[in-house]
Amino acid sequence: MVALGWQVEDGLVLENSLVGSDIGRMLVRAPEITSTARPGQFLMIRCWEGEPLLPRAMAPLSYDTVSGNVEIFYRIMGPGTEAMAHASAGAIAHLTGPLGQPISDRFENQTVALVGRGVGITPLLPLAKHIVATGGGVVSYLSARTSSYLFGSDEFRALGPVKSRADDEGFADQMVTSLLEETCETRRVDAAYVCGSRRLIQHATSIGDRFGFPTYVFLEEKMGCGIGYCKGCPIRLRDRDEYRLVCTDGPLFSAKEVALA
Amino acid sequence: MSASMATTIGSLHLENPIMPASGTFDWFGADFVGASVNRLGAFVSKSITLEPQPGNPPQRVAETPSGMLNAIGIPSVGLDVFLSEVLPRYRDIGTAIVVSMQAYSSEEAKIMAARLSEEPLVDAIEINLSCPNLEHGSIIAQSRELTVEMVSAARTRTHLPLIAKLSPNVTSIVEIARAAEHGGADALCLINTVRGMAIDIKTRRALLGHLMGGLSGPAIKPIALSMVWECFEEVNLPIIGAGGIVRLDDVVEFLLAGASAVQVGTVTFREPRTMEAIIKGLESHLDTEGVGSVHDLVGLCHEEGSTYGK
Repeated sequence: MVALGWQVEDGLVLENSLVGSDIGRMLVRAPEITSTARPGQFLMIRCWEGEPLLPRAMAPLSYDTVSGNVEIFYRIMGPGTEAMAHASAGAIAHLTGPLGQPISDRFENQTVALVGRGVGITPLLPLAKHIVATGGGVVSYLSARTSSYLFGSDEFRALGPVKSRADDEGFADQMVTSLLEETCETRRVDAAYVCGSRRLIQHATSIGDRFGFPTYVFLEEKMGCGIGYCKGCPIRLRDRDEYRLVCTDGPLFSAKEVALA
Repeated sequence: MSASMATTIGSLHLENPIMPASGTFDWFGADFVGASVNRLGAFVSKSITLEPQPGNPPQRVAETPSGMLNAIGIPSVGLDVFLSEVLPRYRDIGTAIVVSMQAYSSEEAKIMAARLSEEPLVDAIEINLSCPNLEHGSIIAQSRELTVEMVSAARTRTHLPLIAKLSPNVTSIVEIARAAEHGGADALCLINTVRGMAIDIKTRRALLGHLMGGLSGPAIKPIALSMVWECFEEVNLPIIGAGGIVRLDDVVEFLLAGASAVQVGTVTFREPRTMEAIIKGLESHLDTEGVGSVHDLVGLCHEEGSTYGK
C-alpha cells in the first residue's frame, strides 16, 4: 500500500540553547524526515513526556540531508515552547513530518522577494535555497527585535542581497516592507513570500498589488495535530464561506485566496 | 495459544476493540509509516451532515491541563459529496467502517440513515447526538424526547447497527441512554466531549472563536468511566467507551467498567501511532494475564446484578 508523505520519527536532540531572552535554537537529528522534507513544509515536535498534551508546529530554518539534522528556532510563548527550552541534548524528540504542501515550482529567471520577521524568517531559508537552485534570484527582507534574531542572515546573504531592520538598531518604527517598496521602485520583482505578523503580511500584499506581483503567505494557526485529523487550523477563503486547513492545504497560501483581515 | 481480541457491538463484529473516535482520525488514501488502518478494530469517520457546512471560525482548538478544547463545528462536504467522493476512497481501509452522522432534524436523520444503508461499504452508523459546537447550541442528547425521536427516526430507515453517541453534559446519563435504547439504538458510545471554556488573559477574550467548546483528553477519563459503569449497570445495550484514553491501562479500565470496545481520540493528535501501540499492548496484556478473550474482561468491575451480557 502506498505511504503518506509524512511519518513519525523519534529524533535525537543534539543541541538546545537560548540565543536570546525568549528564543531558543534546537538541533535535532532526524534523518528519515530530513531526507524527504521540501521547502514550505513544517513538522510537529514533542521533545517532552507528560504535559503539555499536544505537540508544537515548527518550520525549521534548515534541513541538512547530509547530516540528517534539522535546525529549529522557537520563540518561548507558553507551556510547549517552555518544555522545548528545557529539553537537554540526548532527549528524544518525537517528530511528525514533513507536513504541509511542498513548494515544487521552478523559479527560472524570477526575482523573488522574501519577507520575514523573527521566527517567521525560518521557513524562508529552505525556500530561498530552492529558488536559487532552480534558476531564480532572491532578495531577502529580514526584520527582528534584535539583530541577533535575524536568523540565518549569513546564509541568506550567500544566496542574494539581504536588507534587514532590527528594532534595536534604531529601526523600531520602520517596517522592513518599506525597503521592499524601495526595491520595487527601481527593479522588477516577480513574487513575494512573506512570513510574520498579519500586519507585515498586509503591508507586503499591498505592495505586491501596487507593483503587480503575487504575494504568498506562510500562515500560522493553533493546531491540534498538524496532520489533517483534527480540522483545528482553519483559514477562511476570501471569496466564499469555506475554510482550508493550514496544516494540510498550507501552510503557504496565495494572499489573494485567503481572508487575512 | 493467543487470546481472542475479537469483540462485538450488537451485530457488528470487530477484530479488536480499538477504533478512533469520530473526528480524531482521517483517511487520505494511504497509511503513514509505522501504522496501518486495517489493523484497527474499526474506522470511524468524522461526522457528516446532510448539507455542506463550513465549520466554525478560528480559534478552533486550545490546549488545557491534560486536555484539549475544541469547537470545530463539524466542517462537512455534505452527504452527496461524501457518498460520491469520500466514501469510495474508504474501500482500501480493510476494516469495519462506521460512519458518524449528524442530523439536525428527524427528517434529516431518516434521509441520511436510509442513504448510508444503501452503501455496501458502510458497516455501522454512529448517530452523533452530542455535538456541543453547533450554532443553535442545543444538544439532542440533553433531552430524552429528542433522543428518542432522533434515534427512532434513523432506526426506521436502517438495518445497520446503530450506535448512539451521547453527551456527558447531562444530569442523568442513564435516562438518556434508556431513551436511546427505547428509540432502537443497538449500542451506546460514551462519551462525547465535556463542555468547557478557556480565556486569554492578555486579550481578555475567550480563546475559542466559538467561546465554548468540548473538552477531551485524559482530563475527562474519570467522567467517561463513571458513565460507562453506570450505563452497564442500568441499560441493556453494548457500550463503546471513549474519553481520555492514552494508553493500554485506560482501555482495560474501560473494558472492566463495561465497555465492549473503545474509541481512542485526542491522544492520536499527540502521537499518531498510539492506537497501533495499544492494540499490541492489549494482546500481550491478555496473554500475560491469562485472559482468553477481550469479552472476559467486559464489566468485570461490577458486582452481580448488571443486566447486559449476563
